[in-house]
Amino acid sequence: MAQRFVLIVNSDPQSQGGHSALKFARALLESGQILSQVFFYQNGIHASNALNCPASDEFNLLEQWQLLHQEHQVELITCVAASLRRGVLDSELANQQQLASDNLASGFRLGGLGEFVTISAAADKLIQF
Amino acid sequence: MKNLAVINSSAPYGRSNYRESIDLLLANASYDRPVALYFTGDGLYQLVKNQTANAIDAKDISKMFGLLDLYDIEDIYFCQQSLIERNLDPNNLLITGEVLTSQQWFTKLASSDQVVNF
Repeated sequence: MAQRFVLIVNSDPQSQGGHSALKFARALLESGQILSQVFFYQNGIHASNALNCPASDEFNLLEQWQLLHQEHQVELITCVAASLRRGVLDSELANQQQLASDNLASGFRLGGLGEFVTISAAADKLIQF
Repeated sequence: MKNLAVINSSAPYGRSNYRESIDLLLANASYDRPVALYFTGDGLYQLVKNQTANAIDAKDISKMFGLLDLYDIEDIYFCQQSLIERNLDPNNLLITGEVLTSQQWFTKLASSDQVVNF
């Protein structure tokens, strides 16, 4: 029977953990499991920075998360408290804070820890990267 | 509602783990989700008394741990082996917790539905 999974990504996108989260998410969906939410926390939030531009011969993690979102409508939630500290904002917050620009990548949505709590508390498995 | 165990295994201040761990813990507790807090390894250094965090422009950690009471978080556990290795007295830390042997630690942790480690 399919189980409901939530992934919490604390690892920097430059680290293996940040990359493994994507691989695991894809493997879950390919094996017919339910991925209720991917919650980006701590340095994991850097994965949702739209200004990421790796060299052309390097793996583009951001593009792959966005592709996963498009293909499977997976909820990609970037923790708002963690991202305010680290400088990843959507247009609404950037306006609110009177900052020059916003940089939250499309496919991701800012959300509070409360969203993580409600979805993970109902999930069968929580996997941390 | 699945219960959640939060493990603090890293020393305070060097990284943001100690702050973001407690943020996550309190958020869960505020939704009345059953939570437990575990300290192991250098994570136990978070509980040393008389820290002067303001000397390095950091937040006073003892105030954060003072909130555990307010949120009714009572399931707090310390790894005995880690305490011994660091010469820390469990009766002289910022908060009180139950000291667990390795065997007890893993048994207790295995009863958790979900675990996150900081």
